[in-house]
Amino acid sequence: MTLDLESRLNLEHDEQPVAAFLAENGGGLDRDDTLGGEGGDPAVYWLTMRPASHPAERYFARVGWEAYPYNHPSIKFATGVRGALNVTSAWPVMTGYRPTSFDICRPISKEGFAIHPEWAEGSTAWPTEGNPFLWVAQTIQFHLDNDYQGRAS
Amino acid sequence: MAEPETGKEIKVRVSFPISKRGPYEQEFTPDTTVGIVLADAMKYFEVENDTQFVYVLSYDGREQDPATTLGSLVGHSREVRFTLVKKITQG
Repeated sequence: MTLDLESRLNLEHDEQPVAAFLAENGGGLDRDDTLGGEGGDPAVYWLTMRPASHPAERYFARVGWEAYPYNHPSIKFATGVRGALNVTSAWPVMTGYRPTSFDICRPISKEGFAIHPEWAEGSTAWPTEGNPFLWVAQTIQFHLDNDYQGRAS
Repeated sequence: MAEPETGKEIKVRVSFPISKRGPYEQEFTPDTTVGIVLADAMKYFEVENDTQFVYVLSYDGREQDPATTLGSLVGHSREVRFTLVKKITQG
C-alpha cells in the first residue's frame, strides 16, 4: 500500500491512543514497518485483540489504510502478526464477521462498504472527525466483548 | 455488588472517539440511571438513534442496561468512565 504524507502524519498522531486502548484490553498494536525485515508497510497495522470472556484467545486484525482519516481501512484477520490472511480459523464468530468470505460486513471496513455502497451516505458514512482509528479498534473490541460466539472452524 | 452511597455525586466521563468534541463530563447522583447519562451524552455529542444504529454506553467493555443505576454499577467509587458506542443494527 502507498500512503501519502498527510495520512502518515495523521496516523502517527492517532496511533498512540489506539495502542493504549488495546493494551488496556490485553492486546497490542504493531505498525508493520516497525516489525523489522524487508517490505514493512507504514499503512498497515496489526491489532492483537482478545475477547474479555476468553482471555486466552488471541486474534490478529490487519488494518490497512489508504488515506487517513478520509477512507475506511481494509480489515482482515490473520493467523498472527504478519500471518496468513486466508485462514478461516483466524476469524472470530460474531455478527457481520464472515470468515469464509474473509470480510466484515459492517460499515467499519473497506470490504463492508464495497458490499453495501449505499452505506457511503447518511449515518453509515465513514466518520472523518476525531480518531476513526480508535473508533475502529473500539468497535471491534466491543464486538469481541459483547457478541463473541467462538473461533471460526 | 456494593450498596451505593446516597447523596454523593459520581463524576461521569463519556468518551466518543469520532467526535469533534472532547469527552462529556458531568456529575450525577448514584440513583441516576445509565439511560439518563446516555441521553445527555448523546445530546452533547449531537448524535441520534436511527434505523441503522443505536447508541449504547459501554463500561469495562460491556454494554450497559439503561435501567442500571450508577451507584449499583460503581459501588463506592466516585467516578465512572463510559464509552459511547455506535451499535450497528444491521450487517
